[in-house]
Amino acid sequence: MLTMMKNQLMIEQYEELLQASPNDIRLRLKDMRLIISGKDLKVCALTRDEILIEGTMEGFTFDHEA
Amino acid sequence: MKHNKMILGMDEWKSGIDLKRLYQLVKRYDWCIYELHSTRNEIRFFAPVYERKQIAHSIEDVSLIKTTGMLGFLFRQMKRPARIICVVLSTLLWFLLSNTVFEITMSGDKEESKQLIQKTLREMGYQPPFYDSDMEQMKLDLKKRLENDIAWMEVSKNGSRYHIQFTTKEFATITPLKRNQLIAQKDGVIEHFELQHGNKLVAINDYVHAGDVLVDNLLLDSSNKEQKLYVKGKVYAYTWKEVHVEMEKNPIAKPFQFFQLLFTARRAASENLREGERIYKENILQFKDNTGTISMDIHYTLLEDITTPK
Repeated sequence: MLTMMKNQLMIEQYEELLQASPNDIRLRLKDMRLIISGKDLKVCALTRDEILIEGTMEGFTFDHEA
Repeated sequence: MKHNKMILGMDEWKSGIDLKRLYQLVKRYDWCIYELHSTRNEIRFFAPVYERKQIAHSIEDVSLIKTTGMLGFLFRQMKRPARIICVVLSTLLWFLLSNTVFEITMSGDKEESKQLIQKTLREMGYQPPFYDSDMEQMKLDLKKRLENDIAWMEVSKNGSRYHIQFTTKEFATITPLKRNQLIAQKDGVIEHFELQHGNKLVAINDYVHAGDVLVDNLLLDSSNKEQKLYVKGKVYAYTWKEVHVEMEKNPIAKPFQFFQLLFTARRAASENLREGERIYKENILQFKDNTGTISMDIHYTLLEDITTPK
């Protein structure tokens, strides 16, 4: 489940954090991969089930092949 | 929530651990980490202080950078013994001073009662400064000790001061009734009676002489038998007094001398008057100017209780 706020994105029930850099954050969800691209991206909070991403988000790519 | 935790305090960590590995640890231990910054060589993140032990044990090359917030401040202070001692001493001093009574003030209706309370407090061991253990107990003890002298008492605390308010116990004075007649002590004209018991033998406006019985202790009943009565009261009558005053002549104006003499005379006329008695009338008979002295004769009509000897 994705919840979008002003410059924050809350992702619940994610599977794995694959990569985190200021320009893109890659996550593995249940049956796809999510690539968030943007500027000054950072993981504000990380727990077992939730991840909160903050920064200027410019694009979301859902990769169903993964 | 995160903001509150930051204020309370969080540990900032850095490690060369792989992001994937960190994520596995987060899943396994159910950690909650914040402000994750990942670069090529290292990862920096914040975690609550209570997770410190687990993080230090689980991540191989992790190092604690600092602790933020209030907890961080507290931990840093704890590394300086002098500060800890100061804080402990200040706390002790504050506790000691705030529980010490430095003064007891009192307000009430009688100075004697105030002194009595002070004396009782000294006997009880409450001599300022003293440790404020239990004000209510002190109040109860004080009330118990002074139950025969103090009607009402309230103790309140204002800072390091006790304030005691009180009212003294009043006792009604019961004078036993007597059967003595009321006899005129001097001549006069009866003005009014203040009688509680007794048989009046004279009436208002009667002229009476010294030695006359004014109120009797006997009363005839319907069968002409004498019944003994109590006698209690006062009889007020107009009496007369002549006052002669004189003074040496002085350079001040004559009217002032006149008033000086008049007031001296009034003082002389009223020197023996008691409560309820007063000068009723004043008649200046003469104002004489002799060689070197001036004199004045005044006739006073007084209202006096003529039954009570002076």
